[in-house]
Amino acid sequence: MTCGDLAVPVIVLAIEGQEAVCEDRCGQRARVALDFLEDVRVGDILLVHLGVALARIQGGNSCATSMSSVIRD
Amino acid sequence: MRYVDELRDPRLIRAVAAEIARLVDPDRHYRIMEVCGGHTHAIYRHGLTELLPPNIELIHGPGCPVCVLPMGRIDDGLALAEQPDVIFTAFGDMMRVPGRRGTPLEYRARGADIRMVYSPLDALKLAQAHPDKHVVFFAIGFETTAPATALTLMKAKALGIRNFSVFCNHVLIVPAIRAILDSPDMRLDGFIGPGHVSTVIGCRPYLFVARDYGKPLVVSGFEPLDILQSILMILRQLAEGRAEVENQYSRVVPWNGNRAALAAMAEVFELRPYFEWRGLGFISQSALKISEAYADWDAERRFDVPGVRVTDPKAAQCGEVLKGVLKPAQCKLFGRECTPEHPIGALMVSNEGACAAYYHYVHRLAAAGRDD
Repeated sequence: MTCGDLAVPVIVLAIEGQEAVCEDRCGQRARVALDFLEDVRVGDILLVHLGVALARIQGGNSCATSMSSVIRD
Repeated sequence: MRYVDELRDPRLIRAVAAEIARLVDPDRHYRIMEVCGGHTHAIYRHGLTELLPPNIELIHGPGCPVCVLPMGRIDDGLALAEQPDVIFTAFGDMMRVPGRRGTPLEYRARGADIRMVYSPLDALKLAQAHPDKHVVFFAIGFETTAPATALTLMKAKALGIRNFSVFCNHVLIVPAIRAILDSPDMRLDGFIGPGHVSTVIGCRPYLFVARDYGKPLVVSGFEPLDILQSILMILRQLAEGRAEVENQYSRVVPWNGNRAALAAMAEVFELRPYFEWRGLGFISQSALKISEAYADWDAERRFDVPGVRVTDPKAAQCGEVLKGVLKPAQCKLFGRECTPEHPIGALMVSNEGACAAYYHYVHRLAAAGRDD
């Protein structure tokens, strides 16, 4: 599935110029264009759509973290 | 992987479902639209409606680009595929979408050179590999997808690749949301906003939904916990009498979007004055065309595109389902004449379409249960 609103999180394994070698949660590797993101580093988790990285996934505001407050309440 | 597994934790999911049940007013019926087809798919795949109180109704919105593309545009694209020395490229989920004379797969069986690509960048590589052919890419999708097309055209121009062009069908989500809000037969309490479109456009373009129409909109991720938390955030706004744009998916979506992707789109595309949406009709300034600066890579200028207009089969009620007036199974053709194997309406063609999602995850399982 490539169209619509689907995108997948991948981890950056290596950076080669304007591209990164990335791996998804199933272990599948692909080259990803980095033209729309700055300062990407090995170990970053990126959101990729159609072979292009669109966003960097940030750790600070994970949904699961905020859900813990629901359980505590 | 982090950001996926913890968002499917049954303990957390049960806790949020319980909080939703505690918060709903039993005397009120809630109609919440998930705009995006990816959310529709996730809702059915994970059985989330089973976890919600019966007075929360999820309405499936227009955010499946394959579903809202009129059949005439598919015929126009396939007319390009029949041109001599053309390699026509499209995403996998376009290959089974029927035009009047068949699907791209059927055209290919009749001899057209039609190839499936994962990315427009792959279509450009194909053009480099076949300098004696002209490669056309069938571009479709919302703002999530448009930046990849823009990047591809910028690379084509920079590299001087002239045997490549794009048949542009990119559409914009905000005009569609406005059209839904202006539709007289729509009565909604709030929106689950598109997640990945918003990585590009950010959250600000939705502010009119709260300001002008008084409806909450929560930009949401796609995991079960994301969607349930977004519903909870909408219910909290309604309970407190608020109407705001909130960002549940802030681990991915920056409030102001992706500036570089927006700049690429601004360079490569222009707004069309109007564009036809299947089920919704003509919506002004709701789609993109290729800008003058990239006219040499615009398939609509390089080829004589017929400009076909096709009326949908009268029996199919895609428009009513797209606007949430009917549920998929309430369409007269659903599961009988119209199935994923033999789709008649567009909502059955793409996996993200509401009818296909309902068929795969609800209808088929219910039928299997009856057979047991």
